[in-house]
Amino acid sequence: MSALRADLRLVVAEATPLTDEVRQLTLVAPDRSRLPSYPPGSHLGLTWRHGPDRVNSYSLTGDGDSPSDYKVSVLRVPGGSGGSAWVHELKSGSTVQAVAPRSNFAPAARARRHLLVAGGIGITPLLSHARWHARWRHEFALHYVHRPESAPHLDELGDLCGDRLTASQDRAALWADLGPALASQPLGTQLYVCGPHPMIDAVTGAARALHWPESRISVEPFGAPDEGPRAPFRVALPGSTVNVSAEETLLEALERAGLDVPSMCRQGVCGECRTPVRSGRVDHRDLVLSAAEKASGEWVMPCVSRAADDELELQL
Amino acid sequence: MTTRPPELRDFPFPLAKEAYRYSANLQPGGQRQVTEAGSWGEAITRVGPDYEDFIAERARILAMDPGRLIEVPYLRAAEWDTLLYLMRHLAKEHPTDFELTEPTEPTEQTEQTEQTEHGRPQMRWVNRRLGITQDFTPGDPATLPAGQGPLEFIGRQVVEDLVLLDQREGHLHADAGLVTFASGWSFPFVAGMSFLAIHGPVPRANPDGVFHRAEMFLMRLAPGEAYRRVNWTFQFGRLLDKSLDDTAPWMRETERVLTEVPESELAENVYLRVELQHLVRLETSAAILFLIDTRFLSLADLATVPEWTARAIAVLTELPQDMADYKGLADLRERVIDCLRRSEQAQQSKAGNSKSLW
Repeated sequence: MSALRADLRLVVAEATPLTDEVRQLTLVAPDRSRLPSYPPGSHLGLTWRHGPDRVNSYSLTGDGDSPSDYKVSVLRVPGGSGGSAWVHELKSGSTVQAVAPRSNFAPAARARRHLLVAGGIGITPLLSHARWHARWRHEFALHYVHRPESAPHLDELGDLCGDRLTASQDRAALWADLGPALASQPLGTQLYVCGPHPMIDAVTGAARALHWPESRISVEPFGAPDEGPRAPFRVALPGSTVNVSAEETLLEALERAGLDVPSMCRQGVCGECRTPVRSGRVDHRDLVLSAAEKASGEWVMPCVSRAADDELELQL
Repeated sequence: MTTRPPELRDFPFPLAKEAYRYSANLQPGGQRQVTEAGSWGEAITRVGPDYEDFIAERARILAMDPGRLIEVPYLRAAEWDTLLYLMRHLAKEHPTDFELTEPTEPTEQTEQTEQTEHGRPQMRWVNRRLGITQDFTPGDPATLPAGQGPLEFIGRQVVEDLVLLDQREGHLHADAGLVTFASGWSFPFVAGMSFLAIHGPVPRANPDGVFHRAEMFLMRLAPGEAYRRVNWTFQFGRLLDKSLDDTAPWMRETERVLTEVPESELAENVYLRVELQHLVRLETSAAILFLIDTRFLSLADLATVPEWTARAIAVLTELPQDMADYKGLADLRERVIDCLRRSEQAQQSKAGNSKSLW
């Protein structure tokens, strides 16, 4: 119950195949205590490789309220970078390092009705949404298109949604139902789409053609918001040089070197750690500096920003 | 060093520098902050010896003006989130006064205990300070006292003002809440406005984009995360309700202090008013909960801490006129400075005297 969410250590309680290529992990706290709650549509980060850490984000499929476990359903991606293969090899009892749930696909509180459209494994955040809407008795409908041989969570969705679920096995069948649905939603309906990119483009394109307002269309961005890659670089200071590794921020490296840089939010927002740059190009990742200030190259917010090249010289 | 009274030891003194400007001065909540007089900040909720006074004052204001409570149907889930968030923190931070019994092993509970209609197990809330015991089911208002929603039920048991912000169309909107201790603003007036619109009148803040950055920051908070900031002003008397909804009482109080209180007693009748504000991303609804705890420190008490006195004088002396006006300090600034200077001199001569005695 600390004010900031720290990383979690979780234990794999169950690893269940849902289809030939989708595996569901049930993760619990080592002492089986209640896990932090999360808004519907949140994702959990799983660290699948350490040093340097690689984290993949997977949608949580529960309703998020005071959960006793976290469930994720992971599609094996052949030729991926390795995260999904790692998940598919996890055994019951394994310990995993997780980044606490983050939310960027929450239901719109003010919507009068929720129209959910999922394609394939894109069902996972919308299963979470459907549970939430069922619990709070919101008006909703779910269109789920899947391949005949792979329909993760279909039975569960049938129980949960009843006749609010329309499942289809190909594009033509989806559009036969969804086309008229998009054209006949009551005012105040929010549309949510999650699935492969071509499907997202097709559904949102159809909605726009029917004059859905942009603010009434929610799309689950694929993958987690990323600060971008972190490469190591050197920082030249008056009289010394500090090496910044890929695992640390510039601010952390300066602090490690014993420098007292004022800081507060450490997320590129408050502006407290603003530091003058003597030379070198900055890869700006903050929300503080204006476009003009960023272009001037005179300042860096070391809590999030990094060197664009191998070296940065600071005035401290 | 003398032993300071408790209300001074845990006072969130807001002035850390010799000059003050608006900034997105947000820092993680729940962290201990050391001051010259003690420390504060480990708890999100405050339950002090004056708890019952705040509760009674809130009830009095609500009876007089029920419009200070605003609930909206679409933030139902956020209101239950608020109730659970505050109950869990009250129980953890003040365990002798509050207790929340909730199923600790939900997996087994769901199999063994009877589920309520809303699919959640029952909880028990005990507030020993107010003599309240309530069995309730999250999500089901029928399990709360008649006529009370979750926001009102918990709002009547905390000293903090509560505002719920909904995130939509890329911005935050202050849609619901219970605010009885506003200082120089009206919650019923701003209800439904966007975060940026609400802060439109603040001088010197917009060119720098402080509120834009603050809003971006808040929208990026992870579920369950809490950040805090402090805000401050000075006022005549110690009325909690300085809202624009009911200005007559505090205008009378200001008048009383100005006309009836002799200069020698001004230090006991002029207060530093500090708002300790927490901003929380609620766990399941993803709404933002804004908590405002109001604290008072008389100039007489402030002046017992030399560092605070010096910084308060420096800040007030330097503060640009538009900011002083916005903080309602037009009539107060010179008086507060004079008053603190006199107290400072008195303290110094006292210190000088006691030294000479030894």
